[in-house]
Amino acid sequence: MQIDKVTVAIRPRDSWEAVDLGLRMNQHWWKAIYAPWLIVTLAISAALFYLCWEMQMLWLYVLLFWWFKPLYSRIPLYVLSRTVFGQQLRTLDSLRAVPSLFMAAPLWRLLFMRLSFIRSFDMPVVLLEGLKGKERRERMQVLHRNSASTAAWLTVSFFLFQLLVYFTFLLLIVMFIPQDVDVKQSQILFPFTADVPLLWRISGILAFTLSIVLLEPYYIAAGFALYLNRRTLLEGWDIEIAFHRMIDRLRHSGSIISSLLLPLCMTITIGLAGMTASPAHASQAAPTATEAKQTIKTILQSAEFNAKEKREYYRQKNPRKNDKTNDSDFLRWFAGVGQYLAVVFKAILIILVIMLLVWLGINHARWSGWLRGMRPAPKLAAPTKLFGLDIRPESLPTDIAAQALKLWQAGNARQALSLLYRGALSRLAAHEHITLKESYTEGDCLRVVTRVVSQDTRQYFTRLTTAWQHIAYAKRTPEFADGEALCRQFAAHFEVAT
Amino acid sequence: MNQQDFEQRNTPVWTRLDEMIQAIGKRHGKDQRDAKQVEFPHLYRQVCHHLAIARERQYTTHLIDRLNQLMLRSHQYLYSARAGNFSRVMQFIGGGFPALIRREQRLFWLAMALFVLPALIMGLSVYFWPEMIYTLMDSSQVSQFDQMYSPSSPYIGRERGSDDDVLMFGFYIYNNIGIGFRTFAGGMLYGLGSIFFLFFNGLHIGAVAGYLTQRGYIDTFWPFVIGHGAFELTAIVFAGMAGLKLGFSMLAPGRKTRLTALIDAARVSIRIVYGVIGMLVIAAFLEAFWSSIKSFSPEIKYIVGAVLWSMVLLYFIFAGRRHAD
Amino acid sequence: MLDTYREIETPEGVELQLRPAGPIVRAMAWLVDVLLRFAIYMVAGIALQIFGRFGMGMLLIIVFLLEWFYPVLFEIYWRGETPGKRWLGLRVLNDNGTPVSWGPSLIRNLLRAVDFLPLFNGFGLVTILFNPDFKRLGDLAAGTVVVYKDKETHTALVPETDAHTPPIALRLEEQRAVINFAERSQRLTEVRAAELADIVAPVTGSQGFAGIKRLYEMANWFLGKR
Repeated sequence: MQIDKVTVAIRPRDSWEAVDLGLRMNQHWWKAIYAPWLIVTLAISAALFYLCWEMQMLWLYVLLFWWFKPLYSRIPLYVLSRTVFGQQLRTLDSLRAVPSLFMAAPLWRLLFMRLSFIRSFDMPVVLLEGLKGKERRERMQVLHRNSASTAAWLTVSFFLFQLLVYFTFLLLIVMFIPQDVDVKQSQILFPFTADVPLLWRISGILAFTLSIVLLEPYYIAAGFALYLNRRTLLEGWDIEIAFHRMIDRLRHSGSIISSLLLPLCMTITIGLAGMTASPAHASQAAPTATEAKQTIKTILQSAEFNAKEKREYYRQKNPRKNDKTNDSDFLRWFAGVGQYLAVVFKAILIILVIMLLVWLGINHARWSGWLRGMRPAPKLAAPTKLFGLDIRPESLPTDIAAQALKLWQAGNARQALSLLYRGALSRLAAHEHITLKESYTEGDCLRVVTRVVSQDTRQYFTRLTTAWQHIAYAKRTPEFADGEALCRQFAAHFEVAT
Repeated sequence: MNQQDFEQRNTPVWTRLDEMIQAIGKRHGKDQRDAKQVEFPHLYRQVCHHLAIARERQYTTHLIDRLNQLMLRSHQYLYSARAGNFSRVMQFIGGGFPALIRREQRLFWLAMALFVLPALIMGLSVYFWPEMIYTLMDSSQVSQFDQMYSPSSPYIGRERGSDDDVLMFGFYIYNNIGIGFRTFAGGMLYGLGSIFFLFFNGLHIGAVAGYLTQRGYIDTFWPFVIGHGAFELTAIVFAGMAGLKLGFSMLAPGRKTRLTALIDAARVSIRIVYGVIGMLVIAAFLEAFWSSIKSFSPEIKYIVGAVLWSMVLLYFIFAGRRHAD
Repeated sequence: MLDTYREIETPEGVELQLRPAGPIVRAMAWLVDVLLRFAIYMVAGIALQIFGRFGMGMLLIIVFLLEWFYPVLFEIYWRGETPGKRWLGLRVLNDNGTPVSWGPSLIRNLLRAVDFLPLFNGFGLVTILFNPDFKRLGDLAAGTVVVYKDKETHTALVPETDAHTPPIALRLEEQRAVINFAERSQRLTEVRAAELADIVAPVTGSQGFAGIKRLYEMANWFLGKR
């Protein structure tokens, strides 16, 4: 592993953030991870299914496919451990590595691993560090110290997620099965026993397989990220990277003599070159057409969507409830209080409504405008200053645009933009009947203004505001041409005939 | 200016802002007026400016971190959600809401059709072929409706207690507004959820109405539903309309990305939902406390119902005609 | 560089860092809120039952309000936190980093009805797993994001030494690296600390433990000690 070539942001993180980074890694490199993973797992799944089918024991498939998960989950781990350190893997490369991966640790360890609560966290230690015996035990102890509990919670969470995704998929698949299949309520969610119709059993197995195929790489990636984070903390990886970069920069800028550094920097320059951000292709669009169509169909038949007729509730539940509460004098007394309270509550509610109506009647002037349209809000005195800028019309030159252009071309960018911005606000306050309050920020102004002005002006004003904010608060000057354009276009938007 | 001078000169500003933040933080949500005073944004902008300067001049981490932290905290307070502005609520009721509905007219008519057509068709079918109702409900449900509205029912003609009224008010709030919300949320599934809810509710209401009319329970059923229906039925259509807006934004985002189209549509939809909430609360109130009163004759109920319906219609046709939005 | 962090720029032109929170912490926060609501229903149910139908009506109103508006009200009045989120150190923000406002909060919490399908947040979970900012459907439509809360800054604890001006002007992130080193070096093995210090030997001008000491001195200087 060459830390210089790492392609994820290394910094000491909280354990859960490290887990999140793992999930993000799996999203980001999904092609490299899922291609070999799908090929292998689906092949294994098909073989297992055939075997169990022949043996007439489909339930065994569920057990076996689950039990051997640690074996095939070495594939995503392998891909990740290479990709994170800058190596580009083709699917074929990953597939070639599969046999050696499967042989890497004795099969009997699976039994042990399978029951481990921190499987995904330990796997990198076992498979990537290549330690044995006592050494490994000691190593594990050190690594576990801060991360074992998170790793265990991670396993528990993913067990539950797995269950949830399985149910989700099952319900989606079941949609396509004729409804008259006879399934007992208790078997709907776990249809693996022999007395369930075959179609259901197969749907269950399909959903089960898919949920594992989808989630296992996430789980492995999360464990791997947790492991990376633990090592970052233990070994100061982030510091190493930052130090390398510092030296590299200083060498390039000639601040230190380069001969001293050559041996240190050889690897890093390559590493940095490879660190350009790759396009994010994760799945904004993933839950689209086909998936959504399926989901929609399920939902339309799920209980959630079976809106109930509201009146039946009243008849069914209450008489019974009522009988119960009448059991003793004590309770009956309370029920009496309840009735009394109900009268009070109802009365209060009705009185409130009447008061509201009366209030509306008295203040009809405030709302009765609706039949004729709204009255303009009472005009507040326009402020003379906004965020320290004087916006009184008399403080501004008559030809704002020309003046600003002159300033801009003379290189007084801040003054020019300030003038434009003040001018725009001043005109808006004067002519568009916008109420600007003294406490407004630029953001507030923008919001208020965009509500009133035309599309074009809105765009112009947004650009102007951004440019002004950049120069005022972040000392960033816009491109010369942009500033000039702002000056030239000012007149078109704000020099309304007065 | 070196760093020490810079710190010395500006520390009063930073401590003042820090004090203000702490003062606001203690009151926690109750009263954040301080954050809206002129001083606060002013100080905030100064600190932003100082931070930019400190970065540019490469002052030490210590200072930059301190300013950055101060900036972040005040940013959170400065932009924290404003409490509901009373005059804006009034503006919305006084014209903004109907204007919004009119602006989204096409969606309204679509939602309306999705609701009313199934209701009409189902209602007429059940009226002429009563056994049609069993395509939607089983016999126990049907007999419940029978009992509920049959003139010989023990519940009819007997005045309900106040506790029943309150119970039903709670139930209508819980159930009907819940349905309204789900009708809206279903729009997230490319509109299909909303379509389903509109369609299904239409079928159901149509079936019940057709069935009870055919059975001759006219004087028990129609006077009961006419009043609150003005608000409840329209509100359900509006909720569906808001959901459809979400769905369409994803199906036909136009020149925006799908996500921005969705976000923009949601901003508008949620304002429709505000209105829906209000209408359904009114409907629940009427249904529990007005519709249930038995001592008025059906004629009075019809008259009041007609008044309510025309109020709703007039409101949505005319209110806020000149509204700015 | 792949990262979970997201940089955004405030209108004032200052950078703001969001740290979107993943599905596990969010599920835990959700669970805490569910249990809390459940506890309230239990207590309210028992207390109100004795009032008969009036109590039932009240209970239904309470259930309705809590189911739909509990997250909204907390998110508004606790600046993006619900009790569950506070417990787990999370909060909801608008996409632009400002505290979540009424509209978006209501949108995301009403659309929870869809995220919840087909049962126990199945759609929500799958969406979160596919989205780089871990957003569920409600977050997508509302333009909100659930992030880890920023911790209060601690003053960096570096070993007390004399402060020394660094021989070369260092950039901000380089200064940070030196301070980081000084803070964490005691938790590294001695060999590893020396190894790291040797990388920057050209800057410190010394090797091994002397190098470590020089870095401590620089760190003290960066932290404002003179």
